Amino acid sequence: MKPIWILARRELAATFDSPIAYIAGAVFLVATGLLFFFGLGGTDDFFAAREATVRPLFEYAPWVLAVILPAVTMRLLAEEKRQGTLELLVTLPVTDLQIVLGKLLGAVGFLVVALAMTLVLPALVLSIGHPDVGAIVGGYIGLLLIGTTFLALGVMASTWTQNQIVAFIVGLMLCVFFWTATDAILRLVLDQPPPELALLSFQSQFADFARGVVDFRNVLYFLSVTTLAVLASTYSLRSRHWQ
Amino acid sequence: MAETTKKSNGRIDALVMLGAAVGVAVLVNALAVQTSVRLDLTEQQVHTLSPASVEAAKALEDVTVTAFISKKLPDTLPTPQGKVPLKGIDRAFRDKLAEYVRAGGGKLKLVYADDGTPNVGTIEEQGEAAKLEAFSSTDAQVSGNTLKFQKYVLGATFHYKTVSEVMPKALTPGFYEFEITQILLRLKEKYEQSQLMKEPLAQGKAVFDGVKACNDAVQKAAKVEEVKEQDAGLSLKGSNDPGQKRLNAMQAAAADLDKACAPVAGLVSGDGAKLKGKNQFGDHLVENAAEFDKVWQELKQATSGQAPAEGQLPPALAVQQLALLLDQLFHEVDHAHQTLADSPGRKAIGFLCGHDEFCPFAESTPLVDPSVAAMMGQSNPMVKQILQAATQISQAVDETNAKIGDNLFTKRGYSIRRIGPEDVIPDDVAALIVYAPRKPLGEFARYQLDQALLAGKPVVVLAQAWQIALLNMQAPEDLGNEMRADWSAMLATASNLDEVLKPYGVELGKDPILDSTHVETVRVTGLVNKGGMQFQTQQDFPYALIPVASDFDRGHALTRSLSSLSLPYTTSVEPSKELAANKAFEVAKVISSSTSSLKKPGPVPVLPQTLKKMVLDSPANGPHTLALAVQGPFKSAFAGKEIPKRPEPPTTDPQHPPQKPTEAEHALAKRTFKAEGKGKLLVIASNLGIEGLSRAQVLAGFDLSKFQQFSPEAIKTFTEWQANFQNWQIRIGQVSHLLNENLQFLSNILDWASAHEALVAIRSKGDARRPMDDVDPDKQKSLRLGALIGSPLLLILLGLVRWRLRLARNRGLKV
Repeated sequence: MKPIWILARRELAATFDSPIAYIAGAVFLVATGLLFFFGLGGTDDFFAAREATVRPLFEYAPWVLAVILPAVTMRLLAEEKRQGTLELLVTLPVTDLQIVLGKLLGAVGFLVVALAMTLVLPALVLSIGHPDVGAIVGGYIGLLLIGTTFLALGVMASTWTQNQIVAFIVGLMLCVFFWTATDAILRLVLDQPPPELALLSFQSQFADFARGVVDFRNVLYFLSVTTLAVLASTYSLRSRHWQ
Repeated sequence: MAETTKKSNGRIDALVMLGAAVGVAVLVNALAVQTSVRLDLTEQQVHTLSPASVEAAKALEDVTVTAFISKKLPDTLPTPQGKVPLKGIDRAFRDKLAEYVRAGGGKLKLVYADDGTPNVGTIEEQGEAAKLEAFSSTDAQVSGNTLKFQKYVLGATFHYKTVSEVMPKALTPGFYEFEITQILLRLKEKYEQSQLMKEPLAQGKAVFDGVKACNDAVQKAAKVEEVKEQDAGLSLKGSNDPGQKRLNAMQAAAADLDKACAPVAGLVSGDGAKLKGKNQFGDHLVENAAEFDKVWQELKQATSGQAPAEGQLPPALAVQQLALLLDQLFHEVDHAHQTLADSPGRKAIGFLCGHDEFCPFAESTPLVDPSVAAMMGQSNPMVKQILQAATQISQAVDETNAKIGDNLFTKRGYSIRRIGPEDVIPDDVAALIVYAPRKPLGEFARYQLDQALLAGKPVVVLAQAWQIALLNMQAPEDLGNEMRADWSAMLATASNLDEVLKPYGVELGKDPILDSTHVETVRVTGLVNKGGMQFQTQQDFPYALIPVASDFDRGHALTRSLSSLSLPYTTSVEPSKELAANKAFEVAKVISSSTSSLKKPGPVPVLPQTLKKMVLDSPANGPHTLALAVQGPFKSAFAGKEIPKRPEPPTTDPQHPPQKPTEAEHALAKRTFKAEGKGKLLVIASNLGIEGLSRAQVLAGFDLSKFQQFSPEAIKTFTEWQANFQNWQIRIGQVSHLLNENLQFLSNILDWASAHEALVAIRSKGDARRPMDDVDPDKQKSLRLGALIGSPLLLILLGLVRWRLRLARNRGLKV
């Protein structure tokens, strides 16, 4: 555990040493805030709805995370590969899995900070009404889980290439695909997909969190996808031995 | 070589390991789908079954729940209140049903309607056949020349022994528990009561089955030619006229039709006659079945081949119209039968009558006993004519009230009861409605209201302090002249509801609430003379006396989904200081007027333009409470007082004299008197635009003794009655355009009043909406700006600080 923790701290520090963390963080906060107050296309005015709820945050934040988080993960391994520092890293007494987990945990640290900065929105709602605090907590647990899964997918994309831009685009496509396209693809492949398959959609899995319900099945699903992405990243990293 | 093998093995190992991991993940997730371990973090455990629901699920043996869920539900559903998100709603519905199945411990069986089985139709078709409400989203397909909207269903049917219930549309996950538990409780009550109502239910079913068999046969015969025509483009017996072909087909099938339809008359006079009078829903069914039989006899006549009598339609056309009418009547019969089948255990709602209020019932006795009228008419033909005309007006009033009662309540499945001023409220009346009385409530009626409230029966009071007459028809002074449009005025009613409600801490105001901005229109009827003829004109004007409320208590079941509501001629209602301060009571201001509203002592000018000017010149003093819900331990207004005696009912029918009050009855009332009790009171300071119509009000001053001899005065009285009836129509017409929405709200009130006690908490649990405090636009701007800029700015500042620190540290290292 210790090497993972050391790597994670180092990675978190490196993230906040680079301007990307601040740019990505600021863009995330502004975009989430705008969507929260005005909705997509400015159609849903928060104050006009006259409801003390943080629901719009949970509706739109996953979209923004799907776009922003690949920007955070793109450099994690691609940059190490490009600069050749990965070779230096693997000489340390750490396994490939520990490297991947350390990098991922570091990025999760960024995610936690970014999500913590959005707490201003629930605070605002609390100041003008009585929202269901339990539902807010559930929503944040969901955002943390889905964000971690997006990060794992981003890390996986970052292990596949030396080019940060390519890593970003691939990561972005993976995240957006899992968030939005699963239903559509399923419907293209199968005329009437069974409801069990529809559960592959991140949106379906996230819906319960946004309602304030932490369902074991949803947690297991996000953890499964994250684990698979971490394993795939580890084998991808290990593939240098086979090339 | 060895190196290549090693690399290849490494790749294969990796792929195998990854494949295995994917397999394990899929397996674990697939297994997990069967489990339901979850944490409901919401404050009121909105997504967890309450003990009352668990108990309801366990209370019934062998309930079969059939869920109808469209395969592809849309992501959103457009509604007047905005788009309703449906993403994941099917899963929420499945989960909730599964939760009930688990809670039932095997007593509930859940099956899903499937469209894989041949000849059962799509899930949507099956759902509609099972009486679910299909809904459409904006997804549409062009089919021929028409745009066809995709239909969806999401709901369930619940079968228990011989009874069933339908959850027609499950679009609000927050209310799934309320709706399902309500159904389960209802199934139990319905089954138990249906055992006591076996005979009327069987009679109703026999009548329905007979009508259905007849209609099926008629419709089959009437449509046979259309099908043939479509298939072959051929005509029967050389005729090209579709009506004639239909007639020919029906004549050809006459024997079969007669066999199918002949029993209907027998059923109506047999089972139907036995059913009549036992149940208002049964009466409704029999009336419709009798009408159906009448039309069938006409149809039979039209297909008999006899030449039509003069003035009658040609047989081909008559058959077409009558077959269509028969089908429409069958749907009425079907609906009436469904309502009858649903009626066991349905709680009755009492309407207080006899004080010029809205009372949706026909009077139980005729205005004048026919034998008396005949006797009086013999002496003077003019008297006979006047009595006939008065009886006609009285019948029109009765018919109007009965139709309102049928269409608004009975047809919608509510069981309603008339509670006269001298009636004791029966035990099976679950709630009492006092609908805008314009005459004072007597002591006995007040006592009945008091005891109903303290017995825990929800009491709903709607008030009408003012009558607004923008046009008033007046009987002419001189006989022979036409009725004239006389005056416009705001008249105070003689209601004493303010006094009635005072002991319960409710202060009902008498001053009208006006609004300068949030108003609805009033329809003004005018009379114009053109070429010696009088014509009616109508025009809508924004009207300050019809404020539109948009400020609702979202926590209250009644107003949770309202977007706006117009409250014609409303006053205000507030809790007294003592009530507001009493923590034992739950006081909810469920509807409030806008901040631009004002309370002003009445009467005020009623003509729209004058009124508008007056309102604009007066400062606003809103918001004002327009509806108040109070729940808690009320004390009787009759504590320490003499209990009023039941008044003697008027004897209008000598054949069936009403039961006179007795001393024993009064003694019993004293012994069962409740001095306090937990109750629910809802007061709405408007009549929602529904003005009561009563015989006493229209036939004001009707006195049989005045008609012993003919006099010009009698004629004048008669024209006054006509004017009264016309004035009622005009006053309803003034706000007729608002009635649809307000009637919907009235349905909500009845639902709320007749809900099962255990459901009240569950229903409020489901209300996910939480109102936001009033935030003025400037504060909105600053809050928005602070939240939008504050956090990113803070993050960037932190970055700058960190960067500066790093620079300083690096500089230190260089030194």
